Amino acid sequence: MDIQRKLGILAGAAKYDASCASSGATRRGSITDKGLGSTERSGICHSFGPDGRCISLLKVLLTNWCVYDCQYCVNRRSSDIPRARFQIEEIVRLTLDFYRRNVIEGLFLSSGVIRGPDYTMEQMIAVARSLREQHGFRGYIHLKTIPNASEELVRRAGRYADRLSVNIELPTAESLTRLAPEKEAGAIKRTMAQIRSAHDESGEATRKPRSLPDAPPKPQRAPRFAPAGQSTQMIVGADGSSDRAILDTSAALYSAYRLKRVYYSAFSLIPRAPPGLPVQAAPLLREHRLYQADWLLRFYGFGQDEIVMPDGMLSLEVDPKLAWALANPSHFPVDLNRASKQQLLRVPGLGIRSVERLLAGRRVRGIRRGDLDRLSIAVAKVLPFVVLPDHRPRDGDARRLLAGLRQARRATQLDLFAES
Amino acid sequence: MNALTVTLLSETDWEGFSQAVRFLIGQGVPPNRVIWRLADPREIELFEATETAAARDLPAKAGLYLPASFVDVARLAFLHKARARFDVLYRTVWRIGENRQRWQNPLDPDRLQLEQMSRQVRREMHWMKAFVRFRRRVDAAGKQRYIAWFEPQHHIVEAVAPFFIRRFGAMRWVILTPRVSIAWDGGVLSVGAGAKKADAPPADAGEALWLAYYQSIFNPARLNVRAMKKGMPVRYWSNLPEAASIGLLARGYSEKN
Repeated sequence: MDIQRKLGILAGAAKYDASCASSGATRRGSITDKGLGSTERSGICHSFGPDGRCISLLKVLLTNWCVYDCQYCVNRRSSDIPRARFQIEEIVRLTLDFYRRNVIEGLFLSSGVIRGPDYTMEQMIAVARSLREQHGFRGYIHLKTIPNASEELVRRAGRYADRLSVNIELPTAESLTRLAPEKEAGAIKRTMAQIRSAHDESGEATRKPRSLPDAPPKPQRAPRFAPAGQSTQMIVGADGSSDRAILDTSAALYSAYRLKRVYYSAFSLIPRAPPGLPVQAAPLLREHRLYQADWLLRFYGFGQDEIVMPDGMLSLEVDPKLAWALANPSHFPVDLNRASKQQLLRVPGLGIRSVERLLAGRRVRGIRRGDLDRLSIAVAKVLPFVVLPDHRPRDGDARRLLAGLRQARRATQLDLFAES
Repeated sequence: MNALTVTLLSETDWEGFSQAVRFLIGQGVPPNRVIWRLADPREIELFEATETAAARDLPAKAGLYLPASFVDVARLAFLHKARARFDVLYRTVWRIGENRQRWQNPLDPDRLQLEQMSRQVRREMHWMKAFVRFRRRVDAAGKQRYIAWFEPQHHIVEAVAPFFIRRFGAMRWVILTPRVSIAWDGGVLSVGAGAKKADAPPADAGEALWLAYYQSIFNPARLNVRAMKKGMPVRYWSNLPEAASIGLLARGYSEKN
């Protein structure tokens, strides 16, 4: 099989993984030696697909052969699809070639499980090692870790990779048992715990106090371990879990394994789906709302209880912060010149950046209505919820905002149909 | 007092600009008496009537202290394409000289304008890092060079060069743009005249693999053209080889649905 055909199959099979992030790596370059590549603190999207997703990494599977039969997965054993497998050298060459064209930040390598977790993991590590050691590659490497691979292999993977991830796959252990009978939540979490402890150890070792003049020579610096940390992915809408259950699982994962990100992937219909799966794809909007809620929980001081509706779901119609504000009119209006930072962060339309600029501005003088335009704040969304010296919301302003949003949504939907 | 015309060597002559600003502040020349122009023969006639000085010949008076946060913003805003940037920058320095508190006010109109310019410049620098596309050319001696054509909106090329050196330090590469070209030979960066798109090489054989990847990684169940255009503005598409297949991919989706 020629390389282009393999690439078509093995990139096509990787497109269900949402992550393409290349951020969080330690800053490094290749100017001082004959190496190739660099990383910055923040990642770079080198292109965008017509699906609106960032293309930052060469995201491929080593192989789409798989011994498992996970129902939601296009690569499951019983799936009747074309199969392929890359040679290690082929992935290395592709990565280096794409990198020199400046179309990627690095490699995101995942794989179906062949023979067993350890064998598969060893093959993936061999790719990363070749890039780093034979080719002096300083770009970004993200390795998908196979649950149940030995701890020794997890540690080796972390020496070459910037980021490791293990997919949690589904929000509850019961769903996993039903849809992915050969995977178990215990093994997934065990691997996450191994990554966390190896990451913690390497971090601690680099923070040793400076030695005194007569002290014995400094211990060798611990080898680096996945400096950009670990992430995971959860499929949304393949089982009956509520948004509340999903956010609870995320919160538990963030704190237990110190994850950098939980990615949500709306279940899409896969070719030749087995029975037992929903016949409809999950709305992409639900995935979007989960990301918004995830952000509110981590950076805006909201709690899970506050932002889901009584049925345990997030509003699809409006973003979770606006939904919360509409449901809690007693918190509003907020005085922009007096409210605390925490209160300001709960005002619809105010992000972390605008809150900081407002706080800085009001130290100099009182904020007035016209200043909001000057600070490029989403005025229409903010005004129903705030008081200013020359502005006070009228009864029904919030309701009118909602009606306006509904009308705008209908208009864009019509527009979409007109385009296609 | 008559107006004074100050000549900068180029769009990116930050040295000359700061030297002139120190002189003008030292002499107490108010912003409405200064005209900024570039050492471009096409511009000379326009300004014949006024007294003219080359920025780098002006004796700069030492001792102009500006807030560090202003200098950070100013260095970026200076690379903006709007000619008005010279006036806004000098006016802001003048007003900070009158009252240092002015720069502390995030609602000050000059500060807001400079911050907006610096944001636009920073974003353009980021996009240049993202969207430069190298193609391989092998010369008669068998030496490889990577050559790219790029059309930035602001005067950022020299400012982004260190990024490409850090990343591709062991490669020989050239980035051609309409205003200026930069070339790295593995040890020295040279800055040369602008170029034309035709000076850059056409697609090489290996590009087909990138195009194949771009087409395979697209998930047709998730078509979202608006998000794509936000992340990758249409004005860059003409220099992105993969953009040629966008229409085909999106149409294929529409027909299936």
